[in-house]
Amino acid sequence: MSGREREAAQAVPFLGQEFLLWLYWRSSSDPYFFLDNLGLGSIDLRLEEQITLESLRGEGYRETIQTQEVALSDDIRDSVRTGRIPVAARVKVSRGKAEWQFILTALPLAMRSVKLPAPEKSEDDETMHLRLIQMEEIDRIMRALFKIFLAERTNPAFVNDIRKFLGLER
Amino acid sequence: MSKLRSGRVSFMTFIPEKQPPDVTKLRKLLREHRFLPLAPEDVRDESVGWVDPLLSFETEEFPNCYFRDYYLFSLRIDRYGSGGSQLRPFLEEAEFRFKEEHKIERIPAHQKKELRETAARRVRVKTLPRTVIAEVAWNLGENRIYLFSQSSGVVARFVDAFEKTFAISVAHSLIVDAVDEIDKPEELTSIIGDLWDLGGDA
Repeated sequence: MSGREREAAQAVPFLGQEFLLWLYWRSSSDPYFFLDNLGLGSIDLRLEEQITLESLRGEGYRETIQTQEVALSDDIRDSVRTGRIPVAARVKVSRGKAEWQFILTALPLAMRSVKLPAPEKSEDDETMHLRLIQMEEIDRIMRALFKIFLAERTNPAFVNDIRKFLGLER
Repeated sequence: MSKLRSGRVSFMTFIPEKQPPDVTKLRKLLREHRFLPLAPEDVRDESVGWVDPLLSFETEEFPNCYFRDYYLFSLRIDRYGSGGSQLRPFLEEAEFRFKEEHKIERIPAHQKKELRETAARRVRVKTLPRTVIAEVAWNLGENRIYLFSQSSGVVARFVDAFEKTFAISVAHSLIVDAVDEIDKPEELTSIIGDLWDLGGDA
């Protein structure tokens, strides 16, 4: 990547917030993603247990809401509807029996504290190799999802679809 | 225990500008820039260098640095913290004794500095440096590097140590980099204002 391109990528901090909002929407309506063409299989992504919202108005009031069902919580949807945007969330990505869990932050857009699917207690070389592969896979999966988001974002209906989901129809 | 073997991981991805060296050269370079422990009498406050990914003490051998499709090693950072609360009792004791011994009320500035240095040396003898270890996995097939840390201090030291060791510069690779693949990324504007009718507030 050239220096100019890097500058361009870092000059769009709002994309992290929009991406989290999109994941919240998808996790609540259609959490399945088909990434077979990228060799990553079909995955299921859900926001779970905890989400942090930040007010777009005023001084950026933040609240962290804990609930088992982030996607179904009326409190969270009401909060988002009133202009609080997700800035961090616990995410679970599943593919078959494999599960990754991590915290996704919007600014910067990054995964933190990733729990890999490989067994926790094993110390053999096979497990170490599996952990490396799984770490790279979740990195590729999140990059692929971000690309899908960017593509969907260009759709003229994108804003209205999210508004409809939030109950903000004009 | 090494993050390669267990536990949750926070990592950053880097793309090196050149291909990795062969394993013989890798071992030689890691050895040359290996971690060297700090001693209390050391003039350095910090030591930064490479250790084996599964043997985090000083070693010249790096037996685990070549693993299947990866080069593996760890960055070790040892640092003496002369934190105020640790230093304070030693400094206050030194100043108290100096005033008593010399029968004075105020200590001259140059003397204060000397007393502070003496106190800091006493703290060093009694404490161990703080150690941070961050594993590094270099995928040879894709020529991508994963650093098992997101701390800005560790990342800065990693980039510096890596470039000094291998004479290869590295660039962060972020999820958001995909934005460069779209047409005119510099013209992207936020949709947040449209979603909540914020006008110019977002």
